[in-house]
Amino acid sequence: MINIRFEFWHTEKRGILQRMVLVWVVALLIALVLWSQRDFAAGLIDQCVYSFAISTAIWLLADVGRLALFFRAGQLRLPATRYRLLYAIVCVLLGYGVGTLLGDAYSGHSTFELLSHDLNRFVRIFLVSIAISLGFIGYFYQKHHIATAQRQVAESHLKLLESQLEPHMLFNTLANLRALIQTDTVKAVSMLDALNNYLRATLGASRAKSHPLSDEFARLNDYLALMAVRMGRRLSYTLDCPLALAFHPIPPLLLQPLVENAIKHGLEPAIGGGNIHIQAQSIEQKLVLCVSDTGLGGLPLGRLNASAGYGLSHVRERLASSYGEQAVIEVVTRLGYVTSVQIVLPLDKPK
Amino acid sequence: MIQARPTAIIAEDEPLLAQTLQAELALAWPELKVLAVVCDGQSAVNQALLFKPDVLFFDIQMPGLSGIEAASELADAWQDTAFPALVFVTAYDQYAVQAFEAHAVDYLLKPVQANRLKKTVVKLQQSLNAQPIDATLAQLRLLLQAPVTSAKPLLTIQANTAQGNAIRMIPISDVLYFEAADKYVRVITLKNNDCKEYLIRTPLKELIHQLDSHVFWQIHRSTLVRSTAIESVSRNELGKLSVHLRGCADKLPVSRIYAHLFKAM
Repeated sequence: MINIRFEFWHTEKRGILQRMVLVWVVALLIALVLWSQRDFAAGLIDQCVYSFAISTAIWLLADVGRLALFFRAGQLRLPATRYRLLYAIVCVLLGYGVGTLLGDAYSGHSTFELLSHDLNRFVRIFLVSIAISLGFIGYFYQKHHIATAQRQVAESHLKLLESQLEPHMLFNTLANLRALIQTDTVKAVSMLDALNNYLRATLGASRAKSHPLSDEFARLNDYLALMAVRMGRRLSYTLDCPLALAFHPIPPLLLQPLVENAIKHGLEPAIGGGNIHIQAQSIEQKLVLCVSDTGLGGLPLGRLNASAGYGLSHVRERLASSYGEQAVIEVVTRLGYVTSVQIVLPLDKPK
Repeated sequence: MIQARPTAIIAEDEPLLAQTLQAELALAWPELKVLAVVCDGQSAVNQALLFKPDVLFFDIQMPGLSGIEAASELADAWQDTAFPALVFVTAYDQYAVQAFEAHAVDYLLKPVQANRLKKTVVKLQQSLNAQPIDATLAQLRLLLQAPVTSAKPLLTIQANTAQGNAIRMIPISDVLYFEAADKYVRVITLKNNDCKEYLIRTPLKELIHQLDSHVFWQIHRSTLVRSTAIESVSRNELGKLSVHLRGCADKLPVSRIYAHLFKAM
């Protein structure tokens, strides 16, 4: 049930030592304050021993103990918030008890005797200790939380770039470009322009919050133009964006993963290739974006689940962060198409 | 007598890249006659069986069969003892390139560059007509080995019932064999001497990762069979192996590439 492992030491030791030093600095300050107030009939050295013993015990339980219990396979997997809180309280109480006993053993006093003859003072010292400890745990937790959030944002950007600058796509495009330079320079230039736009949009997409729907369609057109050079007659495509919706803002390259999936899972594996249709419509105060293909299909539902790769989970995440629960993504049946994925958005601006 | 010109087949699904490879080959190896340029794996197999060329240039990612799958299908159907020299072409495929390096398989990276192609051509010219099929089979077998993944082992197969209104849970221990069929995979079970068939949509390629390779042997591109259920293996007059199962009349063909599994101890 309780499974203690020390695999965290290798990666976490820097943070652990930093926190230890900080805890000790504060322990020294507490000792000085308590000593100056003469709250406790003890000398500075005794006061320091108590302070260091209590804070180190709490820190060992709360910090090192937390890592030993919950650090598995390179990641800290903490339990639900209420258990975390319970864990913090248990650590503080236990650490306080152990630290006080250590201090008593050193100084020869008995702190717990205070309980019987000066309850008020005991409670005061006890509450101060607990408040400081919980403050510390809260502070470190918050710091960890912010660092984790920042790392997640960075990771998500990196993944977006990796998925869009997919090496296989890039090298195949360059190989085609190289071929065109020798045979058809006019077409080579237009392919280079499309690649240029595509790369610029991809590199910018992780920064900008939104762009007009017409820009989205222009970027999808660039991507499809690149793919059309590569796939030749196997790819045909149509884009349909009504003028009335042209300036409606949407998160940049939101539809890109859907179009990529249509090519990768629908058209590329189909010997005869197929057709991709991308359509924007306004239906009952909703913006309906639909990417349909006539490719291989087969597992449309499978393609929407998490195991279907990064593309769709990324679309989901972006929809959730921009529109909350107002956005819906689903597989729909469309006459004449094998696979259709539809996104329904509110027709007002994203948050 | 004038020696016949060497011949080749190019399989590449991107038309411009196929043209370029052909043009670069014309410069690097003027004597080479390209007999066919095809854009999918199955056509590559058919054309190669028809023309019996000296060299095959196979793209890795193609619709239908991949380059490596196409080469294995071809090796399976090939009658001669000498097999064409095989060169794989890929734009970027880390796993494949690592495998090619590890198993000394010839490959070209796209865009194909003249210098690199020249080297390949020199190597091909030296080794023309000297490809024992067994060596190629051994190489292909290694290339086909699935990369090791940490997928959890599958304990039950979940299949729709014929009426589609319920899910049938089939313990893996009941499964006799899996066979890929068009868009489905057939799951054949044997319980109390009763053979049953279910259809599932999970591709064989995904199932392989979740099954113990000692328990289920791949004996064909589209067949995984419980090794302990195999009763005997026989060879027909054409030299093709097939597997006979206990408690089930089905006879399953064995690809040449997996024939090495069946040798007397």
